[in-house]
Amino acid sequence: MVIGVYLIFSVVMFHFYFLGAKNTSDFTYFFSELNTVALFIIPLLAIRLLSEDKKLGTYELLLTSPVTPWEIVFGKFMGVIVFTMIADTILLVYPVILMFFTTIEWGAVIAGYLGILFSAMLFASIGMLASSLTDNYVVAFLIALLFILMFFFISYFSNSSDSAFSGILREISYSNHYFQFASGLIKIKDILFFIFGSFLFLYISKTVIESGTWK
Amino acid sequence: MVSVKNLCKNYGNFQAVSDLSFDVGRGDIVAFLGPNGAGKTTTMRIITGFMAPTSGEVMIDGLDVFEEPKRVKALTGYLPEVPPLYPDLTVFEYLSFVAEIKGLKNNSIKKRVLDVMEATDLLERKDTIIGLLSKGFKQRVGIAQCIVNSPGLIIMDEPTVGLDPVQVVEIRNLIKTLAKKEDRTVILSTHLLAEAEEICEKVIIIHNGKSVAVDTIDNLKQKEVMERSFSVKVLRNSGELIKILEKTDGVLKVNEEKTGILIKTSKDVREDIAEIIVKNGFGLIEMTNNEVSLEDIFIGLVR
Repeated sequence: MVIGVYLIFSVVMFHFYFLGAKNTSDFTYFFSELNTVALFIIPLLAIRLLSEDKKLGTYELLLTSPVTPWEIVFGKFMGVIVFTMIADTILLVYPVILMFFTTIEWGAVIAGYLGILFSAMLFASIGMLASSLTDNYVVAFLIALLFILMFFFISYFSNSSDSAFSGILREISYSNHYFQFASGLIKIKDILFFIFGSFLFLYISKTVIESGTWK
Repeated sequence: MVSVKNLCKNYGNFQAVSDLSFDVGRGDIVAFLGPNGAGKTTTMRIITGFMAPTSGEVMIDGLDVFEEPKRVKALTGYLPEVPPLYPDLTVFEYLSFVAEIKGLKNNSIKKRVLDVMEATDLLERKDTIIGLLSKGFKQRVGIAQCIVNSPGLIIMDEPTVGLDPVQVVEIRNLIKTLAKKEDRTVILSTHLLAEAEEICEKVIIIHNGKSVAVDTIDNLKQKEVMERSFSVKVLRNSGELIKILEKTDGVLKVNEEKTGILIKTSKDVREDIAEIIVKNGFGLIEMTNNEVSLEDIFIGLVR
């Protein structure tokens, strides 16, 4: 059902931007808007990851089985990522269709696709952390939203001036890094931002789970 | 098999478990007995490695639970008060998942799961979605998951709570059978004394986070039977009988109750008392031995 909603949204976005008979196959705005959808849907998927187990009582099962906290966190994380990748791969249908009508800059499409993937990684790891802190979905969602808002504040302030401080902010600004992908550029710096960011949130999640077993 | 030393657990200012120590030998079937709120669930959560104690040590088969969690957890099976089930999976899928995370090799999982389902009488529900099962069946799936990795130690928290009388008997028999097989060590918590008496040989009685008795049921009863009691029913002159009895050697206390005359003695003087009644012509019609029940012992210890 969630894939359904996600796809419906993207269909709407697609038509919104291409209805106006644009003579361009510029996917930048498409991926940017798609990202906004991901912004909400991915956390919604991710906050269930641990909160649901706490509610069902299976959290006890996981923690009393011979699996390490890292295996638990990473395993569940990959679950969400694979799910997202399936949904996003279906989206590639659009460029394929367009291919018959115009020339497609596949490099740009691939870059945009990677951007969505990395974005999903980051949001999913934020959702995972939020989920590890509570068994209440609403609270988890709010925590995740808080982190995401933090990123947007950083983005806003990083673009508002040209000082050295803004420069630093720009390096940790989510939207700036994502925009590179959406515009068709695949840069190491941006890849690292997402990988490092995701890892950080996942690591903190693992630590939260582990903390119950520290003496 | 299990060695608990000086276990303490505080939730903030509340001491749930204070200085608890006990040992459970391999193959023992032990009941963790205690009133509600005594600290049974907390202790079990610590033994299974779910949460760390404030202080103290737990060793299972010589391994420290918190130093080598992976090895210890592969040896144990745990059934919490609420069975840890995923309502969207079928019984087979769920048990296969548990087998996998408990470390069973992929090619042996299918057979093991089917064997376990047979032992717990779940084969007919193999492909039923767990969310649709009745409570009794869910409990059985819970038991199945805790034995799927053939653990040496099984820990169950109130396994029959909430079941109907028929299911209670079934589950108890199931636990007894499973425990006897493969020389497993079982620790089972309950506040139902009848259950403890039926399934287990040894009890650990906990009250307010402390252990108040650690012994076999027979030993506990032996110790309490220092003070025996039995009751007699006579047709005539019970008042006079009571006066005579109070002066008799070995009699501690005599009470007239609805069910007869309750006599507490320090030694077995039943024959003497029977003779007294018959000689005086009081008409002895009934003599019943009042066996000390676990309930009496329990209440005596936790009041």
